[in-house]
Amino acid sequence: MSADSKSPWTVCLSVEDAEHLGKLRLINGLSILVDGTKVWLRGEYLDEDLNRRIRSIPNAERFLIKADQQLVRPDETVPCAQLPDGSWQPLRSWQSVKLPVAGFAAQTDERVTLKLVRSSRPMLANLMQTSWERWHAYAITAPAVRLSRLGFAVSENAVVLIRGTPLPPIPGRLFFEDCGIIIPNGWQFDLNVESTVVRQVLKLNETEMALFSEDGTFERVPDTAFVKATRSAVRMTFG
Amino acid sequence: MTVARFVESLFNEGRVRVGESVGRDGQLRHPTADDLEATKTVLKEFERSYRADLPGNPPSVSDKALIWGAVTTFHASSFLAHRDASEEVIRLALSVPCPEVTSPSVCYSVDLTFRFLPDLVRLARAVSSNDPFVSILASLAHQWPLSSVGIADVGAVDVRSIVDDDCLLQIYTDRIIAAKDHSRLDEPRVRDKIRASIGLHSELAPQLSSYLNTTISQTGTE
Repeated sequence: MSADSKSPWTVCLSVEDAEHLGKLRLINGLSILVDGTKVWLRGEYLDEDLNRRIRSIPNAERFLIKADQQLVRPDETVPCAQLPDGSWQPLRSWQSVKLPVAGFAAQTDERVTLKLVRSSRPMLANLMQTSWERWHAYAITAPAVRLSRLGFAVSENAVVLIRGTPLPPIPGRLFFEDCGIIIPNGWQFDLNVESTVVRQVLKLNETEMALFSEDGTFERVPDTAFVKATRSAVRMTFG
Repeated sequence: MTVARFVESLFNEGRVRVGESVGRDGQLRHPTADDLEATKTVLKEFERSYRADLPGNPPSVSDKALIWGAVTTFHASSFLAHRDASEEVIRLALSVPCPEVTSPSVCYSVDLTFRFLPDLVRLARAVSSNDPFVSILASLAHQWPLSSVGIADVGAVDVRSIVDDDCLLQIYTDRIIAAKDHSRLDEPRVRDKIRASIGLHSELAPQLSSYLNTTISQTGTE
């Protein structure tokens, strides 16, 4: 079929390929007939745009409709078939629109849990857990240049967290803190995740820190519990 | 402005409004007995909270040294603000010796007000570095090394009363580190204390660490 044909035309395709006609359903003047396993589409004229669209339909056989409903293949002159009789209906009404099935958010059947594993990556400890007695004995005689870089928090059972660098030269458990996520020194999460992501997973609020143990359990520590390390602050703690 | 009010303002507000130490007759005004008693009360009350922030066990307080330091600081501040006092009157006021023999207790007591000496010297030198007032302040700085850390050109100082007391030695070295004053590193115990304070973290005091290391490598004595 040539572009801008004034002759009526038709294409034949299998029922399975009929879905490809959807892109033509808004074009006026197209009608359709289902004949067994075949689908026939016909129109009264053909312009260049419509011709291009029809040629893009896969497995579609094209014909021109001649007198007496005879069908002639493009570029041929001898009829090769007869247009079937039947109840033609507008393409627009034959092919209705249905809404796509709503997509639901993905559901995770298996949750990935964060675990702490031994780390071979050296990290500079910036938080220490020690006893009140050790911290008190150190702090009240410590050089100002060391104290000024530290903050501390004391729990009711007299366990002290000291934050900053360099940490005091006293015995204690060393940790590495990043964005409020505190993990034992020499350990790391088995998954390479940012501390900010861990915060979201743990649902920490802005003023909370998570202090992890080696077994993966953690406790929430309020950031506001830390005070600047001064000799007077240490002396005034516990009166 | 009384000395008591001066000290109170200095401690609580960090800035003072000073009256004239010299009367209209050109003579030095001496504080009254009541003023001195009130000054002692203010100083001792402040010292109780001040010592909570000091390392270890601060020395006991000497009342006489405490008051002498406050009065001397009052006069020095007054002469800084009122520049028309004669050199004679300035010397008279600032050359009164401390009534107590130097000891850790006396150094500590005087330092309660003399720790502002570096600020006084800086301000006085900014006005005129050749002023006799500056040289008199420099003399005080030389006599009281605990309080004069950071002041340039003080010369060799006697720090025996300081290094014999753990608290004062830590205060002294804290100030040296903060002021980066390597002119105070002659005494071995001071150097040792600074090394212990810094430890392996030379980044805490890079200039002093470098100076100490250079000194060691040059002398080879330590």
